[in-house]
Amino acid sequence: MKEKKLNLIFILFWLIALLLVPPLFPRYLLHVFIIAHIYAAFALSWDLLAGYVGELSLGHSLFFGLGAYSIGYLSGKFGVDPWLSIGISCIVTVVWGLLIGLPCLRLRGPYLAIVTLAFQMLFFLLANSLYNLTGGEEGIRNIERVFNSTESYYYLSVFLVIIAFIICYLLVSSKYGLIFRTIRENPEAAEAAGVNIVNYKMLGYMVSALIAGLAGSYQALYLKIATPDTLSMALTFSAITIVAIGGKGTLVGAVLGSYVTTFIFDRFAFLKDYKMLMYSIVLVLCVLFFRNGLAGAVKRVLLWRKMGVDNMPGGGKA
Amino acid sequence: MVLEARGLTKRFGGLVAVSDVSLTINQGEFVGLIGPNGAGKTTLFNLLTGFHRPSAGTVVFKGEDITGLKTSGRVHLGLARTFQIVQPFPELTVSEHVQVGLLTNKRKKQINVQQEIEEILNAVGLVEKSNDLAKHLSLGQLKRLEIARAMATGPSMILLDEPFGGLGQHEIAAIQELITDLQHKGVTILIIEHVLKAIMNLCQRVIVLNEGRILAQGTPEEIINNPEVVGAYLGKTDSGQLKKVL
Amino acid sequence: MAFIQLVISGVLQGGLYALIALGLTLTLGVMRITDLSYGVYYTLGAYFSFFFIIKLGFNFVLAGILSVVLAFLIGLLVERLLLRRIISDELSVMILTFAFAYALEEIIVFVWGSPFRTLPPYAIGTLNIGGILLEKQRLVSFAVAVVLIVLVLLFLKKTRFGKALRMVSQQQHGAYLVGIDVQLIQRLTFAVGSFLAASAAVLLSPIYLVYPAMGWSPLLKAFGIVILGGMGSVKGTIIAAFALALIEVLSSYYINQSLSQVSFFVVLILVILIRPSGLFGNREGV
Ligand SMILES: Nc1ncnc2c1ncn2[C@@H]1O[C@H](COP(=O)(O)OP(=O)(O)O)[C@@H](O)[C@H]1O
Ligand SMILES: [Mg+2]
Repeated sequence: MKEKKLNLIFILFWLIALLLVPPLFPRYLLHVFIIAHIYAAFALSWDLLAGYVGELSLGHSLFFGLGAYSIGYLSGKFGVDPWLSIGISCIVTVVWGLLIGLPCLRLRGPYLAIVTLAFQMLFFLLANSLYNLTGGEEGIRNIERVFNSTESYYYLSVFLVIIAFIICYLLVSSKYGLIFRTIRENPEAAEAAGVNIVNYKMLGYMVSALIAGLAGSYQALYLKIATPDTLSMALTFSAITIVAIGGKGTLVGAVLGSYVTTFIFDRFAFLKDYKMLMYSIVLVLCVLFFRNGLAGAVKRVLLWRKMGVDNMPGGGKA
Repeated sequence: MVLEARGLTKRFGGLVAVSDVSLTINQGEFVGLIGPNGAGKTTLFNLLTGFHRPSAGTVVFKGEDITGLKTSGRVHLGLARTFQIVQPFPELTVSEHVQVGLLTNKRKKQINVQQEIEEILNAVGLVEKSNDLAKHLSLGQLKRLEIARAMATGPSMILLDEPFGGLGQHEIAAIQELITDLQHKGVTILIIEHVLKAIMNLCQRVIVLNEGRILAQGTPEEIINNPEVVGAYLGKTDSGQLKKVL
Repeated sequence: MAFIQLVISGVLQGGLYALIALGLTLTLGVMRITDLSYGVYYTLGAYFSFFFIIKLGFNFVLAGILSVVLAFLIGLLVERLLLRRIISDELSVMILTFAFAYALEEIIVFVWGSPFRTLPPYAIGTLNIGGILLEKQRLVSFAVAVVLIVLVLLFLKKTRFGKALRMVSQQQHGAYLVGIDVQLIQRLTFAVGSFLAASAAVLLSPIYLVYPAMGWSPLLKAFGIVILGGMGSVKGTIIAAFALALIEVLSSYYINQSLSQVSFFVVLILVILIRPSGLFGNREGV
């Protein structure tokens, strides 16, 4: 209950703050925010799966890349209307999600993690090497411009990340969220409680793939290019680290983590070369010593007073 | 007849844990399943509830062949179970354990979920704990939570795997009362118990499993006086212990 | 003739795949964790040999032995310092080992840079036996790999440690009951896995390129082989390793060069679809 209220307050403040950014801050910062929003949406999709359903998608950039390349092909190569391209790219990512999820999610064990990782590495390899099809390292250019102003791209990114957040939030705070968590906590017991765990894992995986694909599609539209970077392990890894810093299984953490990391690397540009080195070390440390992430720390501070009362003898419920 | 097993067999590699077991349970019956440790009782439950695929044999529930059905599908038909080794959702609250069972119950329209949760928790005596996380409960509470979760799925038959295991006299009495209530509500019950004494007065019929096979069935009195059954337990325990067990 | 040549190449490759996958099978069976940092020890093995041979000028036997011993010790440390703290949390283990593998890759880039490196072959030249060409280097690597595999199998069968290891792998709880120090067995098994991965790298680094991200592909192949062989089955793992190597070699020759990578994934997906318990496993999926 307390958590629900906090989340609603968070969404409201967040939205207002985001709408105040363009009038109050220099144009340049909009770009930084856009990048943060792309990461946030992507990290949210990863957190939905790992933090709630309890399945790791270690090759999650596969879906981001599929989104980006779908836009690249449709808009860049075949001149399809960009908005229509987004719709088709959603279908593409979901179909791939089905293809991978159906065999892997039936099984108990690390199958999904291994197979998504395998597919991501395969696609990365193909994107780099099949020059005629994918443009190799150069990627696919000529994606049609959809807006003339950075502001418009900014508002679209706000829309993207807020929608991603709301979808995830509605899902995890509904009965599906409870069902997801039972699967994460104890799949056998969930099945015994009547949860068809395969179906619900599929649901979580599809939504996750869809949001990741949308983030990739948006990035391709914004940067007007789709490169193999969108399929890289580094991208998945960034999302995992962002979620770990922000706090796994909180959604808010994915957003916080994205802002914090994006702005740090923007402010201290010389760190960029060491980004993945820092991420990987930070992630190891987070798993070992900072399990609840920033969101956990913030929540503890916000709820501290209340908890203090609850814990006192005679406090709390009668 | 609610549940019928025909020729159920389960092999693990070379080990035959359940061997050609056939049994029938009637509507509203209260049946005990006993046998020494490692007899295959839990494995038989796993076969009946779909946690394991049988190496051979079929399971029929309410006239429907459910051998190929997933566990959750069987639950939706009204066949619930509890686990010998408790299987809570550690980071979920007690009431959420019940809620998930209610949510997946497709045969019944949920009118007032909160009220139903409260009713079930009342029945198992966990109302005060409804907002506690399962990881903070005692073993006795967890055993009752197992039953609460199974009840929430709205079962017409419930399989209880050693619900008294590891509990003290007090807690055993509470759970005995709880399952008697269940029976009075018309729920068919199949209960595994290592210690026959605990279910002597409850069961109408007892099935004895030994080394994967059905050794005997009958009323509790018949079973106690069956020399073969005594022999099976003798193989596992000394006679002093035997008196305690039977 | 081409076919025989291909089969022989496949078998030579299969021996090394078996060596790599064997370590992972043992770790999976005994630790019950998904270790995504397994490829790290492969990478380390290659870089250590590179360092000893090229930078310090050691001969390759000494360099190889030092490399695998170092990998063994690092395995011990990693198990103790990183894994042990979180070993019961499946998801955390996967994230941690993934992060550790990535960190190591980045550290290597940081310390040694990212260029591709090569090691000189231990054995130069090719044998021509009735028209069939055999690279001496591959023969030597294969022979050493087979010796190592046989040693591991004997070790599992004959020694007390081996028996305890199998016990832990099959019946962890039972192993506790009969007084086996499960933690110790797990730690040593993890280190043996590291040792095997590093040995494979020592044997393969004269053939393939050495670079920071080189560990991922063997990691995935090892997982594929272990799944194909039926998780936890040593015999299955070895057979699957040869099967997979043959499929790769044949498909890349008869269908398309670039398909050798793809064929691996196709096989993996088909296995997961048709027989998730693998060819020799009897564990079931829920
Ligand atoms: N998943 C499994 N894999 C291998 N052997 C098992 C498995 N489950 C049970 N067994 C074996 O089957 C036999 C019967 O076990 P179980 O059904 O748990 O007995 P009980 O519940 O009667 O004590 C035991 O020998 C046990 O070791
Ligand atoms: Mg049992």
